[in-house]
Parts: sequence; C-alpha cells; structure tokens
Amino acid sequence: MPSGPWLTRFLKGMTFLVYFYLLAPVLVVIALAFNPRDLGDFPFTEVSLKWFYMLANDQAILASVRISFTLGLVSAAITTTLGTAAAYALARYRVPGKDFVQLVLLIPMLVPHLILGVGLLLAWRLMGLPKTFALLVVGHVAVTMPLVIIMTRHRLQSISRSYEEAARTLGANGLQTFAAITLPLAAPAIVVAFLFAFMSSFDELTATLFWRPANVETVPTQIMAMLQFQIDHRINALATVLICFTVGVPVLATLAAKGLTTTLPKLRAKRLAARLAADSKSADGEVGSLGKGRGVV
Amino acid sequence: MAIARQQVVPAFLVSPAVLSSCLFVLLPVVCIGAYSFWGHMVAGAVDRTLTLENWRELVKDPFYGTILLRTVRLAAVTTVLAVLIGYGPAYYLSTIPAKKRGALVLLLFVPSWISYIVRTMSWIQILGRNGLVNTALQGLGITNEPIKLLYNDFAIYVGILQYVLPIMILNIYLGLTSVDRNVVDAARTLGANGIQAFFRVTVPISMGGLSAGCLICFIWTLGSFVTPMLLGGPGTTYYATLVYENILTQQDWPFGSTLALLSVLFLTVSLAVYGRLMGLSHMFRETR
Repeated sequence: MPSGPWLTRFLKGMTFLVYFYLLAPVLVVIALAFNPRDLGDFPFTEVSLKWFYMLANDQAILASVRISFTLGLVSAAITTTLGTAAAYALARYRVPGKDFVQLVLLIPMLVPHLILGVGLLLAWRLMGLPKTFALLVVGHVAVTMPLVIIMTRHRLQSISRSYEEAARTLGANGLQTFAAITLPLAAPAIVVAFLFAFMSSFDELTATLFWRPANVETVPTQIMAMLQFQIDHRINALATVLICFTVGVPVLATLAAKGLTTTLPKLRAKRLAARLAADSKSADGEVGSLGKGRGVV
Repeated sequence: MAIARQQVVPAFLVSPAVLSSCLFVLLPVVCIGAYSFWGHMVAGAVDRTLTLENWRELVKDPFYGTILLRTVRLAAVTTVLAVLIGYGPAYYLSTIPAKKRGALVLLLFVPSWISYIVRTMSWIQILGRNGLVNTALQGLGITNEPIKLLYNDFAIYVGILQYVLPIMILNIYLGLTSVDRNVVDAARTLGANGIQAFFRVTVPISMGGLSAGCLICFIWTLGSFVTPMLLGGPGTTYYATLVYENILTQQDWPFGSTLALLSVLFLTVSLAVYGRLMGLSHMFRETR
C-alpha cells in the first residue's frame, strides 16, 4: 500500500464514515420513539414517554413478545444440547466420514433463509402436519444449530486433553470425566452459544414468515405487519426496547463469559493461595513453601 | 468392544444434529424439487401427477428470467460496492495497534445484534418524505420539494449494503491479518513501489477473506426479500419477493417451488464455480 500521512488520514476518515453509516441510523429510530406527535417526524421539540405507555398496553405486541421469548428459549435449549453434543464428538472423537458430517452440519448456514422457509413449510404439509408452534421450534432449531456447533466446538478444541486424561488415569469413566472436567471448562462457551442461539431465533424473520401459524406473530413479524398497516411511533418505541434488549444481552453475556473464564478462576486461585498460606503457617517450613508455590500457580 | 465403542459414542452424539440438518434442511429442499413437478389446482390444492407445466411456464414467460437477471445484478453490484467501500476500513483495522483494534472489531458486531427489521425500518425514517434527510434538505433551503429517496432501487442498495458491509469488512480483515505482514515490507525492500506492493502482495494475501466475504454477500443479497419489500417501490420486484408471493399470497405451491428450486440450482452452480476457483475448505476454517 502506498504510504503517507494523507493516506492514513483518508483511511481513517473512510473508516469513520462507514462506521457512522452502519451504526447511526438506529439512533434515528430511538430518537423518534420519544417524539410525542402522531405524524410529522422531524424536527420535534417535545419529548415524552407516551409511546412506551401505549406499547405496554398493546395486547398484540405483548403477545408477540411472549411468543418470541417462548420460542427463543425452547429452541435455544434444544439447539444448545444437541449442538454441544455434536461439537464434543467432532472435537474429541474420530467421527466416521468427518468431512461429510461437517458439511451436512454447516449446510443450514449456506442455504438462504427463504429456501429454508419454503422447504420446511412444504415438507411439513406433505407429511400432513398442521402449521403449529412445533413447526416454528423445529425450524429455529435447524437454523441456529450451525452457530452453536461452531461456537462450542471452538472452545472444546482449545481445552487441553491432558486434564481429561488425568481424570481418566485417576479412574473416572467417560461420563464422569465429561461432567466433572470438560463441561465446567466449556461452560462459558456453552452459555454464550445458548444466548446467541436465543438471539438469532428472536431475530429470525424471513423463514418465520413462512412457518408461523395463523394469528401467531413473533416480534419481528409483528413489526413487519405494523410497518405495512399502521405507522405511528409505537413501532419506534418497540424498536427501541428491542435495541436495548438485543445489544444489552450480548454485552452482558460477553462480560459474564469473561467473568467465568478469567475473574472466577482468579478469585478461586486467590482463595486457594490464602488457604495454603494459612496451612503453611501451622505446617513445617518446607511443606509450607511448597504449598505457597502451588497457590501462586 | 473398545473399537466398537469408539465408533458408537461419537455417532450417537453427532446424529441428532445431523438428523436435524437432514430432516429439516436437506429433505425440505428435495420436497421443493418434488412440488415443482406437480400441478397446481385452485385454492392452494396440489395435483400430484407429474408435469413439466411449471418449468414450461418459467421458461416461456420472459418475465421470470428478467427478474432473475435483475436480482443477480443487484447481488453482483452490491458485492462490488461492498468490496470497494469495505476494503479501506478493513485495511485500516489491520494496520492500527491491537489495543484500539479490539474495540473497533467489536463495534463491527454491534449491527448484527440489532434486529434486521429494525435496521431496515430505520431507513424509512431517514429517507422518507418526512424523513431526516428531506427535512434537513428543506430546512437548509437546498430543495423546496421532498426528494424521492425511498421506495426505489437506491433505498434497497442503501439498506442491503448496511446489512452486508460488517461481514465483508470482517472477512477482508481476517484475510489481511492471516498472513505475516512482513512480506509487504519485504516487497518494498526488494524495490516494489507502494502501488505495486499493494496489488501484487497485499491484495493476493487478502484474497481468501475477500472471496469468502463476496460469496456470503452475494448469497445474502440474492435471498433477501424483506429489504426490497420494505424499501423497494412498485416497479422493483426481485426474485425472492416473487417466491414469497407465489407461496404465501397466491398459495401456488408448485410454481413457487419451481421458482425456489431455480434459485437453489443457481446458488449451487455459483458455489461450485466458487469452490473450483477458491476452494471451500477455508470457509470452514474461518467460521470455526
């Protein structure tokens, strides 16, 4: 790349503009949620929470929030369980036909949601099943599975096998080793994977439009319907709540995962060190220094 | 016994996920294929006798070909624009110190946490008749009449680019940082000027990430119908909208399936060409 201060400045400016383009538009939505006037958008002089009150009393919207939460929690629970199992097998065992299995597991990510939506709807009806909540759950499980497998597998692969081997050497069987060693070590990634599965189920729109039973609306399909039939700032208020929720959860999840992987073990190590130090006071000098050394590690 | 166990446990663990993929993703695609050879009757009923009628209609009426071409053009132009707009920021990210970089990379993920529909609808508030841009332009006295910015192709491009840019930037950035950057300095030391070093060293280095970004961007745009539906106007029908209308509005499942299957075939061919040119293995490595 040709270098020079002008170029760095140009790249910096371009980066700033692109980030502005990616992030600023939603601020307009948030601002409008506080505009008390019914129509006319800009400029507005008053600020009120009127639309948020209306939101809290809108039965259709509340119903869609309930549906989205139930759907997200149920499908994320199923996906996380099945996905972690598959990731564990891929990370720890010699799976027959591994390349092919990986491809099959990854495919839902490569197929556009439009095709997933149409296909599963047709297959479901071909089997003579009615459009019910179960169709939504099954669909959302299929859609979020690759994400969970990728996230948990990454973590499982980074856990050194020597811990598991140590447990096996000490007499634990496979299941005990998994429960006592592998699962706690992988827990942060599994929690984060669950949250991301929940979020992507919560956000799924394209395929959900095909799968939802009559009169069942998730939050995104509800917003879609509101955009087509009524325009008032209630929709901006709903979007604002949604933004706070969907940005808040990953931020909290990241912090929580950080806490689980770094802060907690640090605290535990500190406590252990303190205990060992206390032990060493009452024990012989040689053993005490050994204990202290271990505590620091 | 030990050998059998070694095979049974992983198979048992992996099979539910594989089954979910097969039953709810692959089998449905086969169903789309089956429906496309069945006949359509009134009121959403399906006549299960084999027929080529759907495919004949698809080929005979130039309307569908035109829409497909227009959609491919949309996806291609979006991809090219995303590369042109996204390369600069990705390059900038790869040059700054790691400390500042972490926060900027994290910011790239923030849009993906905000609901797709919320991001799309924000453009209605910005580009609409009474939107931010028109109010500002009239307030500044630049125009007297609101300019038509919404419900046309322009609005679709604005909305879709915002949707695909983060993944494009991220992929180019990963490509750029995956190889030792000293080779660029080496090229300069060996006498290449800045432009030569950029096009003969930096660009090839980032090619893996760049091409993966292009593929994702192309697929996403091809399959998007919420953006054209919300931001596009009456004259801007795209392929995915066509599928949606045939399946859900007109309940003509056989013809809707035919349209859907054509796009699957198109995607498969694109993927095969891509795999031939770039190889698919790095996709897995990158997303893992």
